[in-house]
Amino acid sequence: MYLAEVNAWDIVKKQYQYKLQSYMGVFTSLIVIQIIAILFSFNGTGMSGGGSSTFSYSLNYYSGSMILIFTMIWGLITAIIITSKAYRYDDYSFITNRGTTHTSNLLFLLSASIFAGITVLLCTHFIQVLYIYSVNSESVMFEQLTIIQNLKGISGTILYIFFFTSIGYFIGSLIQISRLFIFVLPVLFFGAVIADGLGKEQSMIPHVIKFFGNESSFGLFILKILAASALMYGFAIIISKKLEVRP
Amino acid sequence: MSLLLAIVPIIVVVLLLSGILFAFKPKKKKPVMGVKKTKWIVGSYAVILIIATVLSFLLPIDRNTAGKSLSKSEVDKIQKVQDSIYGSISNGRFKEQEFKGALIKKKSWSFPFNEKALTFSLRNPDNFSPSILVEKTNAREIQGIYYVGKAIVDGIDVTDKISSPTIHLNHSSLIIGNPDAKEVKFAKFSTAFSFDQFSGKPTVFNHESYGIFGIDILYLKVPKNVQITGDYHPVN
Repeated sequence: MYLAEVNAWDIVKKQYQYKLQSYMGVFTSLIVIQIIAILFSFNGTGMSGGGSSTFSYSLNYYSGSMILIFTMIWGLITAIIITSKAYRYDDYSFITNRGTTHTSNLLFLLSASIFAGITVLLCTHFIQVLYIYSVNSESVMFEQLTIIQNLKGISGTILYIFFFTSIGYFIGSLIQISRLFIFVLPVLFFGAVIADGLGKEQSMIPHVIKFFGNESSFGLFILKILAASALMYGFAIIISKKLEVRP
Repeated sequence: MSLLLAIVPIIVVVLLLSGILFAFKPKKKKPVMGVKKTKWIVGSYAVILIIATVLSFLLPIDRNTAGKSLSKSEVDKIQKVQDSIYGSISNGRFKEQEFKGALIKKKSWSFPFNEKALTFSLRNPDNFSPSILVEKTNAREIQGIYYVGKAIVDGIDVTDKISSPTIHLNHSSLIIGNPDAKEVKFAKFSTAFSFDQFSGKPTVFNHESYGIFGIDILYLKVPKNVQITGDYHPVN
């Protein structure tokens, strides 16, 4: 019998609220990264042309994909930073254990992914407006999506970013075990890419990308990406159990 | 080697982004920015993006074509119908309703006609030579209708950008002039690949350009007893 009953969920909530406040810096970096991505995207992502003697056209493509890719990398690095000691030790201001820390981190990263995912869509509109008011002589086509397609798209975007945070969380946990991983992981990754490219058929990375990227069934995509994220977070949690307790 | 070159930009981007992120990483002793200031910046950013989004829906659409993008299967369907047009013509049949959605009526003309003979001439046959279909009627006039096959560029319907030819009747000679040459620059905006992925549209992983282009038909209704000189397909 204790004077004050401690409820794990209350602690998670407090930690989560605290993190939303004190990790605000990650959103500033998101803004900087998305502005860079907007500048890159503004150049266009491709062009094609054709026609007959009486009608010819050139078509420039502008897409929000670059913004999403930059945001995914942001998610990855943000998650790595969150697992760093400076951040981890913040939780000791509360009554805490590893479970509550991981849960509040996960909730924070999920919230950050949701915010980032929504801004990815809004940034695409921002490019359109910027384009129309700066280059107004051309005919412009907007890809018009239905509400359902938009909702699926936003959910897909959020899940992609969340998946990358899970990879980052896993990498961050590895780095906490040994800083050697800071060097080993990039070498392994780029080594694998190069080794993969040396063979006649590229296999590993294109397959992984296609496994998620070519999944046109929304339900299956959710299943795949949530399972993969759960796996990454699961590994990260298992790894962090090996960390020594803070003195 | 090409692969190595291909991953160089990725490395540069990752390094760049890492640099930015670590620069913004709050330090324990002295945070880069206060929470209030950061909240203010993030809030303003969100507001700017929301305003831009609202503006993008209120854009002056009349000078731009907000074309609805067609999927590959939709374009294939239209292509199939268009393919059947020439078969139908060579069998002497042409019913506009059968090609609905694949053939667009662009312009029509009518000229009173009392001559005994009619000659077609194309002003510039190298640049523009539509299929000319002739239906004999009881009317005392020549009616001309210009049909253009639905033109689609990468899923975008551009039919309304195509101009119509000119037709002049000079006694018994019908002179068909080129449509004005038109050069159109399009800009196609799409959302991120995660939006295309579930909408049946091509994504970065299976993108292929698709489109149809180039069916020109001039349908003429000519009085029954007129003698016609020129290349044409009799129909109906």
